[in-house]
Amino acid sequence: MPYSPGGGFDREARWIAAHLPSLLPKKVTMIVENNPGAGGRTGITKIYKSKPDGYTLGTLGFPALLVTQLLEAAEYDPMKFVYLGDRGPNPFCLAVTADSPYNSLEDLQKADKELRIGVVGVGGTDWFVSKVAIAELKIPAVFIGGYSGASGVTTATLRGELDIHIRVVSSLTPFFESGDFKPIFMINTERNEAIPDTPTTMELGYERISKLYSRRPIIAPPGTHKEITDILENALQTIWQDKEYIKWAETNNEIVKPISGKEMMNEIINTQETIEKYREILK
Amino acid sequence: MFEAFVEAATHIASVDAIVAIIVGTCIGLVFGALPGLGGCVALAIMIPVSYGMESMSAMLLFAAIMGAVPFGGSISSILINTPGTPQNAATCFDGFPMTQRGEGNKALAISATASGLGAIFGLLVLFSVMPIMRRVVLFFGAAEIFMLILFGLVTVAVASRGNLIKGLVAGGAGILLSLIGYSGLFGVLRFTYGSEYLWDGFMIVPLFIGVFAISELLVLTTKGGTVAREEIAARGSVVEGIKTVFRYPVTFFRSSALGTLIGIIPGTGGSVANFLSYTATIQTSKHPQTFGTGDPEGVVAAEAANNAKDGGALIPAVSLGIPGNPETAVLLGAFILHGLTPGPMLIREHLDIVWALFFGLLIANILASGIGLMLANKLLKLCYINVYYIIPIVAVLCFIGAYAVRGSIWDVALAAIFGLFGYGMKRTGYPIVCLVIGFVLGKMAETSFYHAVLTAYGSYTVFLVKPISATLLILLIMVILLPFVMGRLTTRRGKR
Repeated sequence: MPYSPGGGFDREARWIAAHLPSLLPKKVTMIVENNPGAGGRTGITKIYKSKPDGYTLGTLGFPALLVTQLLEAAEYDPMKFVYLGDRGPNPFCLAVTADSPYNSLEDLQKADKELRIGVVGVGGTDWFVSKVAIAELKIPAVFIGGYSGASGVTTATLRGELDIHIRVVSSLTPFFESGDFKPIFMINTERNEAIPDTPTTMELGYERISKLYSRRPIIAPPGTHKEITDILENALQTIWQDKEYIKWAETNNEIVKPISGKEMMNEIINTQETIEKYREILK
Repeated sequence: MFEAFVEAATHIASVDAIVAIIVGTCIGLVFGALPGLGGCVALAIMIPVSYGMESMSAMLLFAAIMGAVPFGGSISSILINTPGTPQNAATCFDGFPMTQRGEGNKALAISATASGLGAIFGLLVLFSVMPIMRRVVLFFGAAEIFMLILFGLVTVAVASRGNLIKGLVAGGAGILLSLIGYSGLFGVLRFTYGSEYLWDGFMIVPLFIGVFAISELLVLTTKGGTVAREEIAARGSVVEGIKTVFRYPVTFFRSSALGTLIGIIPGTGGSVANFLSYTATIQTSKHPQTFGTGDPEGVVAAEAANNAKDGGALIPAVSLGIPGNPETAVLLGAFILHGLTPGPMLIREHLDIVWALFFGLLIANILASGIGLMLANKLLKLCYINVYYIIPIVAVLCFIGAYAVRGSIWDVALAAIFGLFGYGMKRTGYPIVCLVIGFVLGKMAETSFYHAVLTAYGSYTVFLVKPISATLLILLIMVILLPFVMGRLTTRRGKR
């Protein structure tokens, strides 16, 4: 678990840790070990170097950890992990405060000043998606980094210190409900159920960035045997298709569309190509 | 609103709830007292345990843990000069000298009372601002936060008490240390020399353990004997300790207010509350020289603040889903696990949960303080055990605490290195408190400064234009000039 307790990755991992053991042939207990650090790299490297005996699993932030590995040399090769599947995509949404003068993508593009957008730091998924989206959509913007976590950026936006906010829609939904924020567009191919009137980048004509979302796949160390990973994969799919899980995910506005390990692997390959195309923007 | 209150109150009377609160309080006390562990670790461990529990009971458990930790941490601060958690660091400065004089039980009583009452103050503030919680949280922007942090940094001068040059050097060193690591603001790594361990910079817990705990163990090793000098029989009294808190009402209220305020501001944790309140008390005192020698007022200031901050920290957590400090961040994670979505809707949809947290904190604090008062006399006896028995046990606990932060052996090495460094500082008269203030506030000052300026599109006048920021700046200048003005007035009177 390359992230600290309390965040989105952590709660997904904890749900799995609580429900997976009962689906496995041998009697085991599962614990979540948090190894935060270096934006996730510390934990990922630890998983990478772990024994592939089927007793160690992990998760990683996609595409953040891909981006980091491509931009700077890392001790792990994302292609070598054994991917066990993913629960579903976490699409991003661009939001503004309720009293903002901007109400559509067009408004943003025509803004007469540079719009302030906050990020945590270079290399994070929020930074990656924001940079690419802003560049593709030609929104005039200035990036301000150094915020402590996504909630730090949200707070600054609420205060009016930032103009636009790009974050996974599941974290923004409570603020739409309360009327603090209004969504401008979804970076996705489909509209989001919680905000059905919000257009998508696909509809607005920007297909290339519409598949940029974050995922939290479950992985096993390189070299884990197929028999073991098959059992784990099936168990995970069972968990993700469980009614109770779906209900829990829905309260957080998380999309449940499980994919298999192989499908995840394909996504990684495709995304690596995409990231290469954006290398210039990301410098 | 009233129904939610009643709902929560009636739930508390159930067996589940009472057990949850008692268990949480005990865990909080133990994890607080063991150096390095603290609230975050306790909460993280209890989250999976809470899975089967009803949401409200789980919340009571977590709130109880959070409530008991600050007082628990003061126990080791007072008895062995080792802060149990970073938010108890300033308590060592006057708490420990009291123990050395044989008044450890009195100091514990002061801490227990100040902690309990401070927490109540913080919770009262939470209660009274409930209708306007969000506005309160959003009141402080980057510019205002920078001013407050600047205030904090200025207190380095106060905290150096006579050794101004050494204090400033220590403070400067602390600031430099805080800047090591990756900077999200500039997108660069600073002073990491390619080390992945240093990517996040120095973690506060191993640093504190090293600079306070390990260094103290080294001092004790060279001194030998017992922690409290043998010749001085235990002479403090618990009742005296309780009464002492009421003798310093101004200090108590100021510290509690400061603590609550710092709790409300996201990003500043208990350690800031603890030593800011302490140095503020020194600054406004008519007898600053008694602090650091075992002045009970110092303990009151430090412990009232770090408990008051819990009530304050709940305000952004509950009204906007924004963590005010690391413990609340873990708490919010626990919310989600129990199907509660943090954010602006929480207080509208689950007001009963908010009350549960309120009661959990309240009862746990009272309970923890009560336990503290009852055990104070017995705990004091620990200080009369020869240090050669205590040192190895505490050392092991410290290193475990350093390791527990993120499972890294390098943190243990860090604690050891800073232990030597801290020992060196103690021997050469460089105040550790200044290093610590610089370290905790350094990077925060840089980040808030840049955020204030960058979000104003590069204008440096933002600090003067925003009313609260301008007011704080004027206050700051007044505070700096105060000693000079006072000095001139007294010399004039003297000449007459």
